[in-house]
Amino acid sequence: MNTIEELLAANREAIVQDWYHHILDTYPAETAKLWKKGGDPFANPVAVRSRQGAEAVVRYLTMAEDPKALEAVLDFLDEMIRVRAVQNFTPSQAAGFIFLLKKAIREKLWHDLKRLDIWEQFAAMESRIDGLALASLDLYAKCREKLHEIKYNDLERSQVQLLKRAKLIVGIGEGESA
Amino acid sequence: MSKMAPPEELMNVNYATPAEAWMDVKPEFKLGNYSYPGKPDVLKYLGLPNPREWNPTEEDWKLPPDWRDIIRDGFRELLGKYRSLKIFMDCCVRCGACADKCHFYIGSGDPKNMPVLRAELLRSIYRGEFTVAAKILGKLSGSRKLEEDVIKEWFMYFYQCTQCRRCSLYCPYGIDTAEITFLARDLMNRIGVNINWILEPAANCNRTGNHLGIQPHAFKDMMEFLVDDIETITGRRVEPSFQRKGAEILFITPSGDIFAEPGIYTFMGYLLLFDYLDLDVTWSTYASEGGNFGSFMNDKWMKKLNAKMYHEAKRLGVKYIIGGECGHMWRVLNQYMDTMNGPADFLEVPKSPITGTVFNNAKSTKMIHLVEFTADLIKNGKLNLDKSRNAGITATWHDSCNTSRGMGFFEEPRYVLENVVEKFVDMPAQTIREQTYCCGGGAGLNNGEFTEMRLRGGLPRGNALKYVQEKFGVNTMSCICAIDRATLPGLADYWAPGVTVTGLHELVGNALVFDGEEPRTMNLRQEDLPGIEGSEEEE
Repeated sequence: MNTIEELLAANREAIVQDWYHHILDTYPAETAKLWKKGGDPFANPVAVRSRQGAEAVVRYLTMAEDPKALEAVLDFLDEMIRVRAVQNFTPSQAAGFIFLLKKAIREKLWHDLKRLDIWEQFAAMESRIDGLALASLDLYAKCREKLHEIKYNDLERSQVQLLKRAKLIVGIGEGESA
Repeated sequence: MSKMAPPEELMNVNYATPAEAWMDVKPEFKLGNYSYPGKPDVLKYLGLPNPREWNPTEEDWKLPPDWRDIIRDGFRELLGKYRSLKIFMDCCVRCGACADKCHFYIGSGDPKNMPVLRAELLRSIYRGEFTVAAKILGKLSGSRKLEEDVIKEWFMYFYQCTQCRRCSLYCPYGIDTAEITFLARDLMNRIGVNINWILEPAANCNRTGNHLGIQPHAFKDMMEFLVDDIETITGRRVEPSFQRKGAEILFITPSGDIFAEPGIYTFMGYLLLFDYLDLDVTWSTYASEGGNFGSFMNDKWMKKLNAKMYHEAKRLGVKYIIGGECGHMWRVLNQYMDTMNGPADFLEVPKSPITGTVFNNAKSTKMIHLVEFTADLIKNGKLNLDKSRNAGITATWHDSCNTSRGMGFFEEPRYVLENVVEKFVDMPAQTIREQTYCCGGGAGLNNGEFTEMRLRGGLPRGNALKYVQEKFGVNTMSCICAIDRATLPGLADYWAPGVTVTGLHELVGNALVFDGEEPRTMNLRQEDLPGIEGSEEEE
């Protein structure tokens, strides 16, 4: 095992588990305890999405960079961020859970990194994680934009008909020309 | 350059939430997690105490000076009046069966959205103020004293409950958290702590006949526009009547159906069905609201708004009432109407004039849901339906909490749906029928300022919807509740983008084939039918 990817792959399950727990620890203690039990994806969707997302991201990092793989991993991140974007978190808390992966990796691999002296590779790996963090910020912003779009559409759905019916506004008739 | 901190320290990103006892965690009011307070004019109209301008984000809620006494006396009164409340306060053993069953808890992770803890907000005061144990054991008995922060917590969490009753399904003792929420809101109303989205619709309903405050002439005008649209689509001119004395049936539906998308298409479906059957039915502008926002306030207003429908039925001399696609209208009807305003002896047991079926299930209330009426028509072969007019739709069914858990409509709507669309797929078993997940907008929480919280609570439903969307290509979710129709489009847009929300009778209206009709080229949304010349699919 000479590369950081190999090191990560060898410790993948443990790192996923640690990161997943760190993510659930961003919720109140009682909830974290309950949700860590996992279970049915329809009864415990936050935990299941977090778990699947964590697995996808770590698996992605064990492989060399590839735009297609990145796209797939962003879909997983979207699943997680879509949830966190409407969960009373600050933006940094909602999108910043990705940095907790650095914590999980460092805690697990620090001694091996020292032994193998692969700090350059480690810096590159962390840069990839930083890239994912930035992408997470974009995803978060998109979710919040969506939230406001939904508010606007709800308002429109409930009001526009009323204005039309009250003859306060009229549309252009079919085939009508200026 | 200064020396950098060691990596372990730099990496000490700790978002973990510190563990605190729940009583010590104060609610944080932020835009998106609470609904706006009741407006003073509305409170005055309803005769509710303490009308004032106030803001939940501010420290001072301007409670009346004797608010503690009012709550204590009120609590005592309710405990005496409702034995159920006393039992619910006493019998919970904190087994945790309900803990992870609430959609708001599943979506938010906020422990106070666990039904057990939501009830504990009230129970702790019950213990602290009304039981002996608290006097001896104090906080150890899980009791606490009535402070302003407790009221703030009540306001936050009893207005983050949609009274959907999913939790009570799992409770071995049958504790009905919805009723606890009812009564907590009743108590808060006594000191002027309430939300406008409940009070104003209730006030409007009392004054103009419906939640929206649509006046009789405007209601009639809006109906005319829908009649025009029906003519454009089908070539038929339907002729609904208003306040027609001696009609056989009075039809009442939520007012949301007449003005808001996508409810209006369902409304057109009703009109087409009645025309098809040549049903002796009348509408009323006085009873132009099936919903009952009074039920989200207190028993007095629930009773009054429910009684309005029956007054009108009596005045018009109809035989019975059919209700449109509404949710909580049916909760009120099935759970409370009989003891509040029933039995409706001046009406007759509903009997379908088309099939002769007698609806003995409505023997006392004399009111049936349109979905059972339509299911009966189909079962007896009385409707000529062409599924291809809903071609392209792969539908799933959202069980509205009140009609499914509240009154057991599991088969009827599915039966109707399967008869009007070519493809139907249910969502996973643990998310439908009596276990259905709420849309997040019930019990007066379908207001604009609450969208973020509602999406949070909509996660479990959205998650199941996304699953069938990806696995089976579901593109339409149908339902029989006006609040669902208002809430689910946003929910679907966020959690399962691309899924359209429809009422059931919109799809029935599309599929209904009239004798000697002009061939239809579009559906009730005025979208081209697949396979029709000029339609997008053929191009």
